Amino acid sequence: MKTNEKEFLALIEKHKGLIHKVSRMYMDEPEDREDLFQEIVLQLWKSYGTFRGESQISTWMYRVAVNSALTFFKKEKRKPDNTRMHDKMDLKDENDETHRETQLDYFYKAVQLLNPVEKALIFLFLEGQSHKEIGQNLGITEVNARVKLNRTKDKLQEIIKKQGYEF
Amino acid sequence: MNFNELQQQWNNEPTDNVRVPNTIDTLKEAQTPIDKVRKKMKADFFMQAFMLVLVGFAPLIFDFSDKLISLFIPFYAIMIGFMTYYFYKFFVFYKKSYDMTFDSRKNLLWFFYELKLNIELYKALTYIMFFLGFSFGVLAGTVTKNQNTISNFLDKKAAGITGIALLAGLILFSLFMAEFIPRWYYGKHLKQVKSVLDQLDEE
Repeated sequence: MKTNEKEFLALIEKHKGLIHKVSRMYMDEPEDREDLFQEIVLQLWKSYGTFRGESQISTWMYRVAVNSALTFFKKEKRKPDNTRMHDKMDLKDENDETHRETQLDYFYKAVQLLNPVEKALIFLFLEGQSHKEIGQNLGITEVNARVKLNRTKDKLQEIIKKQGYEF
Repeated sequence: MNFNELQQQWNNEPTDNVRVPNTIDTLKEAQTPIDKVRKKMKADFFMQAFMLVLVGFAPLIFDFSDKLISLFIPFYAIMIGFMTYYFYKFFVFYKKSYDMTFDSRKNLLWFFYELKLNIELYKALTYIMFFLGFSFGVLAGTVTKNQNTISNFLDKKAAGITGIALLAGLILFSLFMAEFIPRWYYGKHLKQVKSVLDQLDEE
C-alpha cells in the first residue's frame, strides 16, 4: 500500500465518526448507509490532493461529506418507516444511559423526515459550526443559514412530538 | 427538545463498531448523478458507435445502386462528422473531474448545468441524426423510384394524407427519441439535483 493511501486511511479512521454520522442522518437503511459511507470515503480520496494543498481538514471533510450526501441517491426510494419509532421502546422506566441512547435513536429516526438541505443544516449545527460557517459550507448567507436552521429545529421538534416523544 | 443535551450525546456517540475499508481498491465506484450519467453515456457510446458502423454497411446489405451509393457517401460522411463532434463533447464531459470541496450551492449548480448541457447535446444529436436519415430516405426514394411512379403517387388523392401521416409519424418518433428517452434515461438525476438546489435557494 502506498504511503499516501496509508496516510489517508489513517485520517479516515481518525474522523470516521463524522462520516458515520452523515451517513446515518441521510440513509435509514443499513445497506444504503454503508453505500453512502463508502461514497464519502471515495470522494474524500478523490479530493485528497486538494485538501493537502489548500484547505483546512475540517472544511475539506465537512464539504466533501455533505456534498456527497446531497448528491447521493439510493437506487429505490424508500420512505422512512415512522411506525418503527413507536415500536422501539417506552422510555419512562428506563435508566438514564438507555434514555440518552434512545434520544439519539429518536433523533436519527426523526431526521429521516427532513429534506437533504435540512439534514445538512442540523448536521453542521450539531458539529458545532456557527451560522457563518454553516452558510459558507452550504453556499448561503449567514442570515439565511440562521433562519433555515431555526425553522429546521422547529420542524424536527414537531416531528418528534408527533411521534409521541419529547426531550 | 434540548439541543444542547442532544449535541452532547452526538459528540459522545460511540464509533468503535464503524469499519473503515482496508484499501481504497475495495471501494465501490462513485455514485454521484454525474458518475451515473457518465456510466450510461459510456454504454450509449458503444451502442451508437456500433449503429454507425452498421449504417456503413447499408449499401451492401440493401444492395444500393451506384447512383445511390454516391448519394449515401456524403450523407454518411456528414453523419460521421456530427457523431465525432458529439462523441468528443461527451468524452470531454466523461473525463472532466468535479470538485466536491466547493460549497454545496456551487457544487450542485455545477452538477446541474453539466448534466443539463449534456442532455441538451444528446437531444441535439438525436434530432440531427433523424433529420439526416429522413433527408436521405426522401432523396433515395426520388433517385431509386421511377419518375412515373412518383408522379402517379403524387397524383393520387390520398398522397397528401399519406405524406402528412408519414411525416407526422416520423416527427413524433424523433420527438419521442429526442425528448422522452433522455428525460427518462438521464432526467431523473437532473430533477433530483434541481430539487436539492431549490431547497437550498428557498428563502
